[in-house]
Amino acid sequence: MNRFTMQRRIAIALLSALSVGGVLILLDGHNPFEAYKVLFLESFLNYWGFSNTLVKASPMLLAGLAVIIPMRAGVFNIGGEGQIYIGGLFGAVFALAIPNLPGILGVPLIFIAAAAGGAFWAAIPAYLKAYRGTNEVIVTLLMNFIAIHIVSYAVAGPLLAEGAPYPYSEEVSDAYRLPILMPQSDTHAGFVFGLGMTIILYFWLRFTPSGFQLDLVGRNARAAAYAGVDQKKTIIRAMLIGGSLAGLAGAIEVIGLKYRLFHLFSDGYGYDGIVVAFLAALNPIVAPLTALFLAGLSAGAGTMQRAVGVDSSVIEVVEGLVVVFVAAALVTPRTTSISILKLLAKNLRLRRQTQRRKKEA
Amino acid sequence: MIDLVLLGDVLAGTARLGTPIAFAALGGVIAERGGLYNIGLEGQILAGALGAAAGSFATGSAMIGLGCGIICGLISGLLLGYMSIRLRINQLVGGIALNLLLAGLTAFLSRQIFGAQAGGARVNGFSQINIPFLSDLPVVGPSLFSQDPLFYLLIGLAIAAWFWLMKSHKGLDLRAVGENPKAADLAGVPVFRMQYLAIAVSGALAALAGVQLVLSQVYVFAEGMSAGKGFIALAAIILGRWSPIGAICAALFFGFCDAVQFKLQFTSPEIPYQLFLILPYLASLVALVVLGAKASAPASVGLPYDREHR
Amino acid sequence: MDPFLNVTGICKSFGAVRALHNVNLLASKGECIAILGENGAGKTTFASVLIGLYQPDNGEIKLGGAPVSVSSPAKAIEHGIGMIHQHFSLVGAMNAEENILIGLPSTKRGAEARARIRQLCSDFDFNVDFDIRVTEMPVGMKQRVEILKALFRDVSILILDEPTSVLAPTEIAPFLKGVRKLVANGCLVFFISHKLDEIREIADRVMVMRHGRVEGVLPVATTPMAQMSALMMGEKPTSETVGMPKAEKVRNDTSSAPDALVVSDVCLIDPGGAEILQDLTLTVKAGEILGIAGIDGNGQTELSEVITGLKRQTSGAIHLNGTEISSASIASRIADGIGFVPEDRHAEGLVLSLSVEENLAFRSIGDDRFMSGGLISRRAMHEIASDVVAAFDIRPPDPKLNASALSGGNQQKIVLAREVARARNLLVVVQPTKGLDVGATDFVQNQIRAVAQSGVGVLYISTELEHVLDISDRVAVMAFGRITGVVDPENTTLQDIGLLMTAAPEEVK
Repeated sequence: MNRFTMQRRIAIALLSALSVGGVLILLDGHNPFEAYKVLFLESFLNYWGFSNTLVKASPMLLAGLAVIIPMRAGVFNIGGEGQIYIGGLFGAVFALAIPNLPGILGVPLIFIAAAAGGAFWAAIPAYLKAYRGTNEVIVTLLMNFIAIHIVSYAVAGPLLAEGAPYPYSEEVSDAYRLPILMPQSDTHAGFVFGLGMTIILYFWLRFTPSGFQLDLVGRNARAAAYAGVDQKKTIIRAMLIGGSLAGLAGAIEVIGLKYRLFHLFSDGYGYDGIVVAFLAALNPIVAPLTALFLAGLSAGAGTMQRAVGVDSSVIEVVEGLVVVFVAAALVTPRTTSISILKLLAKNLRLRRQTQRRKKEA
Repeated sequence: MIDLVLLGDVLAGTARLGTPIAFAALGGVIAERGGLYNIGLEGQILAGALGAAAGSFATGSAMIGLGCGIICGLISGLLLGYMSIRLRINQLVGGIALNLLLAGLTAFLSRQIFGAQAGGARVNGFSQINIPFLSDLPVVGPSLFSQDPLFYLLIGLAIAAWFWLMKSHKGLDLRAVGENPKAADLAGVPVFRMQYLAIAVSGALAALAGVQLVLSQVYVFAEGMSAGKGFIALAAIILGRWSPIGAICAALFFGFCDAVQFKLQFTSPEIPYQLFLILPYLASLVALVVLGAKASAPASVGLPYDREHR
Repeated sequence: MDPFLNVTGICKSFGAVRALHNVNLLASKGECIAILGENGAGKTTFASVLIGLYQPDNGEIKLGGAPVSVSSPAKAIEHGIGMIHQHFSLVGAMNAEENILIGLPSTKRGAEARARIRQLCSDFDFNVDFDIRVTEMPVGMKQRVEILKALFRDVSILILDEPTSVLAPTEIAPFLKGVRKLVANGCLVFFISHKLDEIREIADRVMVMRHGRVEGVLPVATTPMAQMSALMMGEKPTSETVGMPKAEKVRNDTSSAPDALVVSDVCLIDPGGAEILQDLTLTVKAGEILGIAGIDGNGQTELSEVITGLKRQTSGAIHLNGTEISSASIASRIADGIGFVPEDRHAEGLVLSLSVEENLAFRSIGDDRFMSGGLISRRAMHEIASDVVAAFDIRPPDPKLNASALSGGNQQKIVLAREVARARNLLVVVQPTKGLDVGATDFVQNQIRAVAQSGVGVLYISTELEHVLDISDRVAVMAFGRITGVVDPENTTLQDIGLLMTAAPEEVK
């Protein structure tokens, strides 16, 4: 990073992605500035639009954390999607099986059940990775499909609501529904819960020995071994935490938004989580911002289409380009790291240090 | 007593549902054997589908549609190659980005080309070819020997890919790149050129999956019509043990299970059809755990190669 | 008539370091030339110039009388020059034949090629199993495949870099037989080694290198081993080079001190069957500095890892202050007060992407001094680090800076400071002065002395012989995974140590 600093590179990458999108909007016969203005105003400054953004950002944030924590230990969890499904299933089964608890007791128990479900689904690839060296990318990918079909079976079979026209479960009781934060909207407490998890995880990584050691394994596994850290246990711990977080995302979709377990209830949030984590440079405290950014783009796309007439698919293009350009912006020609994510984290840090040094000088 | 009509239906369904997965899986095998994950199969299927639809729409010729689809696949493959080989972006992140990009771009372009009306524009496609005599056989005749030309192309390509990869000199070099790029480099193999070749071919094969969907099945481009087939193909690669023939068989097994569950939904609703949807993934997972991935997975897949490193 | 290979005036510098200085050599076909030298003498650099990995700053290489430019390994192959590195570059999932044919033009890969491979095999009496994959082969067979790969590409000059170091003892004799065959068939073989017995057995001439210069090219048959080792070590005074007058040096009298570390009969066999440590026994007394001298790759690193728990010995026992710790975990050995400065500070000793203060803490993050109320106290971490940075004069003096932003000497100070603070009972240091300048070296040595004076036993492992002799109370020499002798640094000559370092296993007993 000589002439271009990190932030400038990322800014240029974001602008380039928006510019290419702008060209497409022009081709579509509309004013790109107008379209983008509507997009961002609607998704962040409009009451209903922002509510929509928050609803989408909630599972994205938790799914992003579910990628960040394992990745900090050097494990690539692309199984967030499956863990969301199993978490949602466990939460829903608990909620439907024991419908009469007061909310103050029921909701935490549903969360625990969902976290256990996600953790269970993550434990299998974690064990295989730690003790048999099986590639976690392949295993988590396969398990995503299995999870989706298990939920599909559950909602079409044992959990199928009476008289349902297509596969979904009965509603969970009113007491278990997450509180609505913005009156009249769908904005449930999920994002606030995610923020809470974000802060806990940030402090855990920074201020507890176990969190510090988990980070150590991802940064330099040999140095971690030299420091007496058990790598296998750390991998399993990281994946269990990641699975729990994704499971919680599933629970939030069920008791926060839909109040039922649906077939295909997660719209690829597990995969969005990878993008959230990547754009956040694996720093949990940045993840809420990147989740809001991505959620805002997709929430605003529809409004933009209705208000300006620009095809909403342009925004998908922009999302893809953001990832490509940000990734490209971060790569120097001599990068050797497998994971560009680690590089980003390191570079951001270096940048902060040079600034600090400049200030002191 | 097995119902022969039912069996014939299932076999026909297997070929129809399995062919796109098989094309994509074949593409994935070529890329992974060269040391590159192609997580972008899903997007490349869409690129091929759009290319085929647009080409056929503009000229009325299915063959030109086929050509356009392949070109779109080559370009999308090279784009992923540039990200993975030159920029050394994490191959999983790069693939996911490509999928996002192509899902949006194909949707956008299709609305520009065909207009936004529901159902899109019907295009000319391929019709089925009856192979003389064989297509008159009972049960297997209508299902396996009276398919569209792309099914036969698939079989031909699978055999050609197997022969090229396992028997030819260039195939040996490509496999060496996927196993140990440093060793290949020292032995004089042009590592990066081989990888670009592999990822371009991989994109073209994945695109054929999209071409088949449009020109042999529905005769229209629909947004998101890949419907996860690119990801299923990734599983088929694993179940097929990274072999071209194996991947085709695995993909057809996925197609078979899909066909069975379709039938079951109507004929025997008391059997949970999801069992058949889970079966191939479970089989892949069990194969991975029991046989171990190391025996077949290319050793260096997913790791970018840097000549000056170490 | 011109000699087959004529190397004149080769110079190569890396920055300020002169790796090769005016190297000249004449060699003919059918000759085996051993290259002997200490670490950093320029052996591998010379080989790398021959095969085109490095471009020389000066000088000329002539092959058969004609000057050639070897600009890349591919060019080297064109000129018939090949090298077998210590770490093979073979594709594990493929068989021998496939490995040999990779990358060749199609015209060279037909059925005749297969026949020729088998012909080469029988010509050289190479036992290679063509039905199994490389991963299933023993190390010796892998090495034969590498050599076949070079022979198939028609090399007339073959460089072997420490070829026997990876072999199991039983594989060495057949290997040397194969090399003799190569030579008999007219190949010019360079044999980089520090094992005098092997050199005696295989080589016609020995080229002794020191500090990047050729000290002599001698016929092996008529040169006594002592002369070879004397040339290799140079005739230098023992410990004046580090700038510390001898009179000031304090040797501790630790004869009555208790044993801090006892290593008894430790063996370590690697998965390939090579014996890395063989029945190794040593004792470090409290307050004593025991130096371990030896040429790189003779088991010193592994010894340090076995003592600190990073590797588990195949057999044998380790006691710390009389308590057996043979199977204790790394963490419990850290808690037992064993400090460890590992050999590779970048790969192991430091986490370069963490700050100086985090690096000072990461090996003992759970210690009370870094904790407050059950959480890591970043303030305590910072305060402790600020003190250390001042005491050790780490520059730039900013504990929040990334470790990667510091120079090698300052990075080493971080590792040393952390481990010195940990070492209540034992300090194991490996190559602590590697890559450091004179000032930093002095500093490191003085810190280690201070640790010993406080009553802690120190195991000082290094290939920098002068530094070992300078600091140690006793010096044990290691070769081939054994202690070949224990000497008093005051009353010993470099030549004696040189002989112990290169002694063949047979001569040891």
